[in-house]
Amino acid sequence: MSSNPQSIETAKAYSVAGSKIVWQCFEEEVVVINLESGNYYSLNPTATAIWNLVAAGGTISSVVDDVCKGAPTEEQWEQVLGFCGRLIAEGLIRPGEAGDAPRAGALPEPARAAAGAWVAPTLTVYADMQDLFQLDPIHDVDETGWPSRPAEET
Amino acid sequence: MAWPSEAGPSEALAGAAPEAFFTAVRRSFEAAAERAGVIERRFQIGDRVALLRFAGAALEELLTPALAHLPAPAEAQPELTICLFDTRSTGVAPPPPPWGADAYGVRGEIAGFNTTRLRTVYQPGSDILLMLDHQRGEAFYWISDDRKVPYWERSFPLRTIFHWWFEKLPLQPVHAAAVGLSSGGVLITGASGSGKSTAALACLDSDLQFAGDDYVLVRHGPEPHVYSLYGTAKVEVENLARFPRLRAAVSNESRLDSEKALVFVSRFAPGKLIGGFPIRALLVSRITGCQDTVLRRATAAEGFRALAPTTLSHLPGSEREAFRKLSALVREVPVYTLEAGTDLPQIPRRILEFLAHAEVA
Repeated sequence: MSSNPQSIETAKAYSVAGSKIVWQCFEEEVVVINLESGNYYSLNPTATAIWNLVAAGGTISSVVDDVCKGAPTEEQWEQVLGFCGRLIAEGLIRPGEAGDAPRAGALPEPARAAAGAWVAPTLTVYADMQDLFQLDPIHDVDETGWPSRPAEET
Repeated sequence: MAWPSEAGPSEALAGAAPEAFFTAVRRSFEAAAERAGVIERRFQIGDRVALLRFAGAALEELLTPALAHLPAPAEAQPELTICLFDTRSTGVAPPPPPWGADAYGVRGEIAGFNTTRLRTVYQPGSDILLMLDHQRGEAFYWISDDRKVPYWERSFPLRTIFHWWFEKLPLQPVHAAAVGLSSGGVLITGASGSGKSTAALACLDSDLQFAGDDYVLVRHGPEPHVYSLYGTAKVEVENLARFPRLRAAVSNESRLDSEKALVFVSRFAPGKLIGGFPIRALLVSRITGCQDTVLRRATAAEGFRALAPTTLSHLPGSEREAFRKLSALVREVPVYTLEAGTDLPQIPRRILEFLAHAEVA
């Protein structure tokens, strides 16, 4: 096994980080939306397989074994761990806690069984909705007790 | 100036249960209606009827033109009653909010006041209080000053309340334009600046009918259908030159330095409005800069990425239900990219060709 730059606990199960993370599996990709930040993501087939295994409650080791057919190369280990590190950094997954229920979506078999040439997992980030989620917090209220501020289009 | 509140002292409702606050707002509306008089308007929203009860004329004049093409008969039994009032014109304020400053979510959702029965948002940027009680089939809309209703609110009034209303039904407002014929048409989606509105407006000069340029209501299922919600069009000022016929119909001419041009299609070209049609495809709009317009087959995932985030980001609450409905819709209709060219008449031509082909198929 290679070094683990993300300090990911490979023997530990991670889980999807809360109910504000929602996703949908399509044949060719998974689309994940963070309803708190407005960011959304596209995952390629390898990333899709990893995502579904993590969401289903697998440990990182078992996820690597599964997507690499039990014989991961050092490069594959690094790519999967790097990908999981990005999922953590984006706030999409977190270390599993007692009581976390697996949130398995339908596992797209073509992705999971991606035999042949290994394709590194990719995570494409779309942040074009972020502005709508980053309005200034409420600070001031008027004499009636209701907030008031200049209008801006949403 | 402090307006009279029907709830009494500011502290009266602090920490109150959501139901008690709804009751207090209802009393405020009734007091406002008593002072200013009630104007009732019924509208056909999808396959349902909503009754809008205005306390006075101020908000009625601002918010109903966008819905004017959807009148429902006076005897129609409403499934939802929406009570609307403002403080400036009626002199009545709702009680102060019983929640603290930390209760406002990023899109105005009020923590503790959103349950399976109740929805509450203080709309950021426009300072409009929106509330819905599923159990009573009743909603409230309040703004302190009718003169502060933003132009964009006039272009798609009540969209969040409609979103909540249809929470448990296969109906969903979506951020998309819709053009077509009574036999079928297309949704056109894409983020702001993707050419969605331009494509829809280009169709006004064709045989295609117009169901909306920004928000429409879809019903997913075996026979997906779109219903018109708003008979409005918003145009970037720099884009107005491409639609000279629209220029004379702009409703906010004096404020174009800070607002998009707002056109009420029901006044400008009432014959072009259509109540709805079966959905034959979802088009993801893209501006190419090329002259020609091309339709290319795309994946359901591409359609979902174009439609779901932009819709969900504008509509607080009920996100999971909306997510599920949008997931279903993009699987029920084919998805294409609409690579919109600079030769505007080509856009409706390509869509009409597609619809003719879809009809045969």
